[in-house]
Amino acid sequence: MSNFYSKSSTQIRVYLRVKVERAHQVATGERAEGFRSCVCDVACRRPHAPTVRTPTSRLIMKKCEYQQIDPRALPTPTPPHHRGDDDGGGGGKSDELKRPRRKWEVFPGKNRFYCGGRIIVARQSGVLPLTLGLILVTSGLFFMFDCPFLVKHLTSCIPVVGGVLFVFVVITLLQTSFTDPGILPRATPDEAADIEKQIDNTGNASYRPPPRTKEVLINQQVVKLKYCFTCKMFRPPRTSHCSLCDNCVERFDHHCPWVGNCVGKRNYRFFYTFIVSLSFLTAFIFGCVTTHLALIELVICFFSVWSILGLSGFHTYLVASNLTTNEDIKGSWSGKSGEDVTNPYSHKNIFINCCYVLCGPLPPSLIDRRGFLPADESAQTSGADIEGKPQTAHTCPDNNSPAVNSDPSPELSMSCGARRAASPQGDGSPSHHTKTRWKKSKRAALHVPNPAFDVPVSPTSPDAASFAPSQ
Amino acid sequence: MRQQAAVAAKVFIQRDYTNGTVCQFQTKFPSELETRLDKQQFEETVRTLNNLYAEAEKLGSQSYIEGCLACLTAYTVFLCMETHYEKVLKKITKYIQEQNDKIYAPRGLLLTDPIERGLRVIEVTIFEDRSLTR
Repeated sequence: MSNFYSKSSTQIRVYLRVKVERAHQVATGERAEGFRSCVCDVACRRPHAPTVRTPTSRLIMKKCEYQQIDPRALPTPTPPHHRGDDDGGGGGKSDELKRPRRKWEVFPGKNRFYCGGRIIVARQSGVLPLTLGLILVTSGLFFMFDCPFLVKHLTSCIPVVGGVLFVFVVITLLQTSFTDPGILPRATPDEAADIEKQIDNTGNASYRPPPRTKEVLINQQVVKLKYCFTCKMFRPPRTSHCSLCDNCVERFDHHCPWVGNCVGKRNYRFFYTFIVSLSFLTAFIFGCVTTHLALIELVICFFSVWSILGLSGFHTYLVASNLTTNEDIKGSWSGKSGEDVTNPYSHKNIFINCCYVLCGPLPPSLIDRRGFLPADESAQTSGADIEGKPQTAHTCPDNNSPAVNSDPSPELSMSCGARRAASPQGDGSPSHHTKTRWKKSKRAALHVPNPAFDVPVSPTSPDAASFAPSQ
Repeated sequence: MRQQAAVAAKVFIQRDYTNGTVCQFQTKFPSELETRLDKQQFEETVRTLNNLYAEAEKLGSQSYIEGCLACLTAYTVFLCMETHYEKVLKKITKYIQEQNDKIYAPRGLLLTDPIERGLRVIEVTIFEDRSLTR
């Protein structure tokens, strides 16, 4: 490691000296202007790009181009394993270890946290800003231009009704986006070991790994519980692993890019209220606007009304039959396979189903974001966090599958699991770490460091269920 | 004293899904606890916990009123009010503490509140015998 830095400081010195010489040559006319931007042909053999590009050297080169810099005066370049602060992480690290850490800071899923862990969103915000923007712009135009006209000619109830609907829409949208959808915390190492032991004890001696499913009988219906290789547990019924958020979510409905979050057990009612109130709002604005004929609002509302009304209708059907989008898409209870299957979770009564889904008890968040880590774990994870996090950026092949149904094959997932297990040993290149850490240092402090940010995750395939407005 | 005792083993009581997604735990008595604990005692603890969780998730008039009120206020009441479920969870925590103090700790066992494990398992930590002789 010391060779790496002594080499880089030598190169910096050579680079700067050459620059000064060439500038002098240009000034005296020895050399024509417009010399190559890369002057390291002395330091390296490559014909173009400069060699070492540590953030520190880049900054120094930019600031002091025509001065001879003594490398000993440079701030110590931070080794790649420290957190990405350019001005040396030595002192900062010990402070990190002493401060008690909250659980959201070491959350393994692909989520971002704000306000000290009180607000949780998916790592990719999707088109949430667009959704908010459309709602605000359309409603703003309505209140500014249409309302005065309608109040004068009709009744003053119109802005009141519009205002109530607008407030409902915005509040429920924010609640859907910022609430934990029902994320299941990953199994502790002891639990995972216990389950693996139970699975291996089935005595399967064949070459292929044993199928990791468990069958349970729920209300006289056979339900298969699948083993989640990422979370290291058998998923409870109706739970699915979202590949975009990398979490198992209870009563997983779908991952909605319009709200930038998964829709699951804990925020389904907010989502439903959002789409129903939004369909009322768009229908209301559309109705009012036809009297006034404002073109922008008319166009937005026309397209929104059909898609959102359709979506509301679909979800009303799901609520009445106590189904999730995931189950409906997969046809879990529709008897496609010819068997006599019924939904074992339904209460067989539309009214009771609606009451249960929309007004039933709301369980609290299971991930305890604001809880403190135990002291010994805090010290361990801060070290592992710094060194291990970049390596866990490898996305498993199964992570690119559509979010509605992420069901990895055992082989792929086992190799992925093995990769994740092996990662803390640290075999990534220093330049990758530096790049990742430097990018991280530019972002806001409250984000959960998410090395997978650099890895492009494809947005979901044009699967009707993945997007809130159906086609 | 407890922290210095060595952990001999951990037993995990898994969820029982025969009644659907409601939170219930299996009452099957694990073999590792045979030497330490009475079967009746264990089943009694798990059954009480199951009843408490069923009470938390019960579809009664209270939960419906709470739900309807929340819906009318765009769910903003959840920001200031403690839900019925959370109240029952606090009761459960108290019950587990009680059980630990009265029954499990004297036998070198410790029950972990399932909420700390995401309601997946009841973790029973078995401590080594020698730390108990006083």
